[in-house]
Amino acid sequence: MRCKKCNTDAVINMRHHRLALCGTHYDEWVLAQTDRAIEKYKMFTHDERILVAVSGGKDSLSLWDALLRLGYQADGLYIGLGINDPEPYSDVSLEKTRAFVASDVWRVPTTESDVTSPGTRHTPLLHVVDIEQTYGKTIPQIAREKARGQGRPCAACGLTKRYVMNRIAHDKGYAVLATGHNLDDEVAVLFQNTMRWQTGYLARQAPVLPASREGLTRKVKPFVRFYERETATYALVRGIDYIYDECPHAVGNLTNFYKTLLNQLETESPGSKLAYYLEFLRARSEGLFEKFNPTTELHDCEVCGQPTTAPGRCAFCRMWDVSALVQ
Amino acid sequence: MSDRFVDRYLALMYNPGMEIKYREKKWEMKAGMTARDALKKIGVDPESVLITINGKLVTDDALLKDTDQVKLVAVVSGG
Repeated sequence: MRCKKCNTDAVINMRHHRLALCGTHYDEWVLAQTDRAIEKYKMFTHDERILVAVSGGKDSLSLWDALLRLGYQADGLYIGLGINDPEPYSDVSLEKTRAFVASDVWRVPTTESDVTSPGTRHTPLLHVVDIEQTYGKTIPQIAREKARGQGRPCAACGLTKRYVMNRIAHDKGYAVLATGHNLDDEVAVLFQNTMRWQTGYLARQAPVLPASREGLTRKVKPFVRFYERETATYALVRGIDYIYDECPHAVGNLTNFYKTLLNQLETESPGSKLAYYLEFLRARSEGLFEKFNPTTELHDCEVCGQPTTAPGRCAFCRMWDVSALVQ
Repeated sequence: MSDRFVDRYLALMYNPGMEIKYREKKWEMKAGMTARDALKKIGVDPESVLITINGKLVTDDALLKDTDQVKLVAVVSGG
């Protein structure tokens, strides 16, 4: 298949866009689409400091790379979860993240779309929070001990990551927290919530979650319109060395099962995933789910001060048995 | 006669087979088919992988030749 723009060999055929592109033109297209999504959903501006949650995977490293090349002040946050059994998943993830920061990948302009020259580009900081060093246990350990985690380490992991991301972003003065969620991630969650008509969750699913209160940081998903295969292609085209393995606890989980089902649908009917998501966003913006999103009164956690729905200790401090603020 | 037709003819005539690798698995396949047809034969959804031939990213209409090293890259990763 040939690139639609230059007629050389294409590296990707996006059937839902009826667009095949070579590496050079795909790279340009991803940057342009990323910038477009940031503007369309009013995610952030060039004057704001952005904290990118990085895992060493293709999505987060690609997002960080694209934001730096687009001239944004993007720093990274890596959370060490201590998932190193049976394979050293967390250790390798951190290694890949550090290697990305130290590499020349994000410094080198490869296309005319790079709006910043390497000399003026933001030099990114990497913040690392090791959960075991900070809170005394790894995620697998806390998941084994607590009701929230029993048989479901993903629940304990998600709560911990959300807490740490918000806290670091807030404490270090970042205006925005950006995550590498792609369209497949969003559609899998949408499908799960639709199957169970979780209207409250549907009402809150969006490319931008505003900071509704002091202590909460605005959360954005600039890659929300890219298919998972598109972010993987960008990483390969850019030469980003990411961790290929899935988290061992994510293998076989419900989200991945839904992703498999939705990919089968996409294969038979190209564009299904994109249409499903965009039409959901349209319905949401027209107020279809508004009544299911009541304003919840938030309280300050009596230990850490972060916002929580119930008075007393927040869910994070309860799970980790935190009785005094850990610095 | 197009180059593509010649490639396909040669691949079918002189066909010792080629190998596809995906994660820990390997498949021996006959050359001369497209990558998409090969994925169908081995039961891998084309939406779920990227295809590289001799280290180069290709689209799924690429014709597989007997000297090709085909590696599939899972698009799901991380967690």
